[in-house]
Amino acid sequence: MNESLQKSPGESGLYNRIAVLRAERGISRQQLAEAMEVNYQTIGFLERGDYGPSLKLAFAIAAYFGLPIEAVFSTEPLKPLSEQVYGAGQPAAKEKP
Amino acid sequence: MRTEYVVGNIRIPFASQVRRRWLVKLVYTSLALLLFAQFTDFLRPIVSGCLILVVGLMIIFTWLAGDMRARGDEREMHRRDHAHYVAYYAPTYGLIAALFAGYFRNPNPIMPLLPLALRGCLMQLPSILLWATGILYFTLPQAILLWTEPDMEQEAA
Repeated sequence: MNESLQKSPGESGLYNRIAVLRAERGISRQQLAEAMEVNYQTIGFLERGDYGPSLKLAFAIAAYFGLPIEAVFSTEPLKPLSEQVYGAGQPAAKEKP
Repeated sequence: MRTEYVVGNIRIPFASQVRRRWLVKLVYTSLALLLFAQFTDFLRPIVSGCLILVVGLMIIFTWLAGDMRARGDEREMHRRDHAHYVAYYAPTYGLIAALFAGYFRNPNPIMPLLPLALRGCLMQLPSILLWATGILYFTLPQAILLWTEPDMEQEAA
């Protein structure tokens, strides 16, 4: 999952989790594009960060995945969702006797 | 913007930016040749050949760019607006150049000093510049769009 995360913000200056969420839920670009009423190329540009969506489109995408907008788009590099939800992902420290 | 040109069963892919840029270069080079041929008598015979090439290329060119006034998605609209914005000034410069070139059509002290061939070229310059401006007015936004769009994907992932 970490590999699918956007490495750089691209031209838009925005990081997003669209590719991760899409892969996780088995949704194709075409399906997402049809639901958002945009060209499938636009989804590709969004995923690569080459295009910054309008607020309307950003909210629509977040709503489509049933997530708050800040879980999908960010101006800061995004962590893997599991890490964000369950913590740093490091093994729990053993209690000393 | 379309990613391929389709004629019957023939599909010419234009998803690559490099290929699209080659098309733009080819269109404007052939257009420039066409206009330049107006200056010289010996090049006139190639005008008709060049015209066929230009018309063919322009068909592909406009097909790929799509209807610039059609409603697209927000990204397409943004890219088209940007292309029109960038292209906005070019015809103005062309018109100004044509106006200045128009000076040579009227009696002036410079013309008698120039060689006959150059005089002929200068006499034709305003109309050629007007033609070039007209062509730029109609084609430049599409050319900018084809030139600036990054590599596209051929089919949905």
